[in-house]
Amino acid sequence: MKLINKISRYYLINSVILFIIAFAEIYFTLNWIITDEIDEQLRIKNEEIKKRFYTGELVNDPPYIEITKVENVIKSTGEVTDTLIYFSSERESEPYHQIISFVHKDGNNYKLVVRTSLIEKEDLFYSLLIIFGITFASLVTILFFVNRKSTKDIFTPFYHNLNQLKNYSVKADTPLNLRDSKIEEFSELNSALYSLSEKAAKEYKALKEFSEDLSHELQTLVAVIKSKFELLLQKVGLDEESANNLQSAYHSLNKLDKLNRSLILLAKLESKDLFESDSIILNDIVNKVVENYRDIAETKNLKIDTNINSDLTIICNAPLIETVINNLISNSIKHNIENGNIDIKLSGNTLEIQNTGEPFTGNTDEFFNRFNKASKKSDSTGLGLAIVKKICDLYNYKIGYFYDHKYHKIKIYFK
Amino acid sequence: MKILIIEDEKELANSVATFISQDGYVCNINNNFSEAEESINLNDYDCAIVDIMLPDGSGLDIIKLIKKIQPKCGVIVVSAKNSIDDKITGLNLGADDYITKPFHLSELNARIKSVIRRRNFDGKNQIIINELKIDVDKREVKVSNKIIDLTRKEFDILLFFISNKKRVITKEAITEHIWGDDSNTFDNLDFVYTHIKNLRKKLSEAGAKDYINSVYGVGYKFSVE
Repeated sequence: MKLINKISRYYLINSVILFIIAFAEIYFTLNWIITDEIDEQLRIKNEEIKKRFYTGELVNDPPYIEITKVENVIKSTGEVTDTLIYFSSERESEPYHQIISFVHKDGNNYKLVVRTSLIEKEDLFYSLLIIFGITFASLVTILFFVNRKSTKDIFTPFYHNLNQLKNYSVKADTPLNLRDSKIEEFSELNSALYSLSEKAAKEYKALKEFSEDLSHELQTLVAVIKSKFELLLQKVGLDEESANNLQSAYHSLNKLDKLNRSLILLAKLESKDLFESDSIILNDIVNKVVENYRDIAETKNLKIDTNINSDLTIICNAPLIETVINNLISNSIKHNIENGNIDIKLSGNTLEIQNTGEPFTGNTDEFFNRFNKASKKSDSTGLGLAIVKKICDLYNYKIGYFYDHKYHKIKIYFK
Repeated sequence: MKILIIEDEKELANSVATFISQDGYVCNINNNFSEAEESINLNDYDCAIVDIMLPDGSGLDIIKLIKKIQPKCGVIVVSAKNSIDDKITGLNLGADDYITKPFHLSELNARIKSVIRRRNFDGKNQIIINELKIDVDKREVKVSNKIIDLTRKEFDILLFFISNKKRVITKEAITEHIWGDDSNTFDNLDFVYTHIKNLRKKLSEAGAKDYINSVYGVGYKFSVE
């Protein structure tokens, strides 16, 4: 629910309660005043009618004046009492106030009833209801227009800023550009957001520089260690156990080297460094990589089928696109099963690489995330696909993964 | 042969020198720009290994200097940054080859050999080891003057072995040399074994001595007496 609607709802609910209370107060007060007045009038009328009765000019005028001859006289109290009179013409009863008194004239006893209608009270109720109704309707209408206007005036900059925030990224160099507001709360929010975003961007940059520096420092150290290992391996007279230990340490070092190189490349891709572009014939690259890995695939008895019927030329950086093809094809070998298949299809603008393999157990949406290893195989750095995705993003190539009928399928759509 | 190593990381420079001096090469090590400048002005070298990032200058300026004073000296650029720009700039300035840190010593050694061969054999790029005769440009191998038929990868492996003869070469180094930098992510490097097995078979069937020995699980060694 929008803030303005929420506020309006509170406002309306409270208004309704207030209106009901005000209505009741006004109605009962007016009612009391009017009834009192009516009764006063009734008493005066009663006295007047008594006088006129003695002079003999009075006639029956039901239901307002009723004169009946009676045998017995009851002592009249002169009190005002309530009564309902039924009108057969309108088939309903109407409320009246009456005073009953007994008079004596020419040796006869008479009962004298003077009445007055209370129908005004009902009129009062309906009049009040109409007045309140109109006022309430006006209030709602005004509220509606006020909301519309304030949404435009107050919330347009707010929504503009919200949109800016949604699109903001600490990775991008563009700072936040918020619209000023004369409203104190909003302008405070803006300044808080500015300082937050500046801090975040600064810290992100520092962290990025740190990891880049770290990677480069590591690279030099790895280079030294690697060279020393190679010298150690030259030593004649190493026993088998030492050689094996040395070999496995050396193997891990190579993996560390690979991981570090991947991180450096990822950092470069993320910082959107400029990469030199060339016109590349994609099928040349695909064929080159396939031929390079065919023998490796054969040791696993994998069958590679290439189906290329497109001479797609793309403009991009050659080493980067080679990395993409290389990572995808080496993955299709690594995560394959014995006697499996790899099908590579290039048609139109689409490259499709599919291979047999154990199903991917993770979330498909996270398939291209870093360190999201498809299997527990220790030989994957977990960065190969993240690099592929980043390169595709760089050139706006669409890439997708799905698993279907025992095949892992990766599709790249080159624009 | 005289080799100049310009590298600010002393331990790495020492390792390189130790590894390549086995073949009787004389190595000079310079750890900074000014030392290197002096060496180039004073001595003649057959090949220089130049790190681009030096504390007091750019290796790219060293390349310019070498090309000016000693045009016959081969140059291999070494860069810690896996930067394509450095590679292109270096090669445009006249460097013969480019290698990224960290590298396998055997890989660097093979490249030095290749640069020296190209520069010194006046178009006749041949290597002769006893009964083996390898024409590098023609990519042809003869055993006692009889051509043997090797696949592209077998030939490259043989050449890599010969460039690093008498040294243990790791499977990782061979893999990266033959299948490229990105190929080393395979856990199982048995495919290397298949090629070497075939190479040894072809050489011995043609009557060559079995020079290639395997060294435990580590790798291989091309031994020449």
